[in-house]
Amino acid sequence: MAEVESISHSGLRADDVRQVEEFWQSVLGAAHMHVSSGNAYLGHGGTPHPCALLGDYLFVVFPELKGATLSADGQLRGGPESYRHAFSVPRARFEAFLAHLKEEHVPFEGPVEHPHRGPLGESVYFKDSAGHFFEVCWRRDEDVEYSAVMVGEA
Amino acid sequence: MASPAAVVQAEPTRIAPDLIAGIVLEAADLSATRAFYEPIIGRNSTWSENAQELTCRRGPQHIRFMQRSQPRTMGEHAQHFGLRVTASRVGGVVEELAAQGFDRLEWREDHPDERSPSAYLTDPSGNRVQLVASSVAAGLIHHAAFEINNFDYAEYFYLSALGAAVDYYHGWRAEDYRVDSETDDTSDACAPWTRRDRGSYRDQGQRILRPNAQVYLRFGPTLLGLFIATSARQQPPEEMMRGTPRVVLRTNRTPREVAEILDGFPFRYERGGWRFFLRDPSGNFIELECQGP
Repeated sequence: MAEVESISHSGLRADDVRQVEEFWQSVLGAAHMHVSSGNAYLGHGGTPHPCALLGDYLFVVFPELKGATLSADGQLRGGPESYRHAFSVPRARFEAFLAHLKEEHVPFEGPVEHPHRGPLGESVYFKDSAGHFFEVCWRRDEDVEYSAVMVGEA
Repeated sequence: MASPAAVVQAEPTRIAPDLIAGIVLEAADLSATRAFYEPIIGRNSTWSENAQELTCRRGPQHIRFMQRSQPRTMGEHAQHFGLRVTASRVGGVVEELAAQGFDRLEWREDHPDERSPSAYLTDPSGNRVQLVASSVAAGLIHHAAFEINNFDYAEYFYLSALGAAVDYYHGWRAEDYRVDSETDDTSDACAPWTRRDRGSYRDQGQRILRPNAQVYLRFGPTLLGLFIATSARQQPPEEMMRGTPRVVLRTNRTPREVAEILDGFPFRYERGGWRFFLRDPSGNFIELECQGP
């Protein structure tokens, strides 16, 4: 058995890695961790790729060297051809988050209400300055105390 | 008691220098140094000299040379400084110094203002000076450049503690790499410190030049370029606070304010009246010059 614990991080690509990290900080509240390869001793100055922590989730972003287009203009919600990172906020803070998106002039889609019997309450969809799709939701089960992950005891 | 959300966060206090007010370098022969720089700097400047020091001032900026038998210069480093030279004079100055046997090199850099090749000369002691064609006759120093070892530490020092603003960065955008890959390397006169050729396993043994990551900080009309070092260099002892080469930054803060701000950061400094001597996390010497005691 692989005994994996959880998703650790995402390695993303962006046309401007400083700009997208700034977006994560100002819009999502991410914290800068460090710049990998922005260091003379580790590789005499490799391509710098910043790492930022959002909650307990780590993002690493590399300059997009292949010129790939991440998302179509105007599309705010990741669809079948793409992926998105979804984060939750407490229900009580969801409205404040929407207001923050407006303050930061981030276009978004939603809020979209999910089925009442499902785990999710509402979601809002948007993308960062590099075109990565994000979703922020509140969960109907936010008051449920989750069991700790029992690694290796299955 | 106010809730945390109701507490207004005060803007962090920063030293916020507004000018590179000076460059302090070492020179073996002060007379030869003056003879080299006089044609570059031209008129409208004041020279003063004694047995140990030579200083040239123009307006609020100065260059000071400290006499040393073995000058600590940075010939192979990214370290250099750019002097403003009236555009119409650049050609003549370069010719004059070349006729005296000084090597001239034509390089370009990555900052948008430096994309066209300009002249670089090495003074008699080995300090590298760039002639920046300028229409601004009043200014003396256009920019300075340092090598750094780590961006995180450097930005903590320059942005968080000193309060500098980022003017430009290169090597952080996809575009920076695409432009390079479209350029014939043999004809691109990019300055050596702006490129790195450390191979990746993906290069399959080919030597591929890529942008060396760099950040330019703005201090009023002047710039400080920070380039990742492309090799490890010997540094002076870490307890040494007053050293050369040194960049002098002017601030409108009082010495008391500067001391209070610096005390909030883990950087050692030495105070001499209204001057503060410290080193950035890569060991580069910085002097903060307050406006009055």
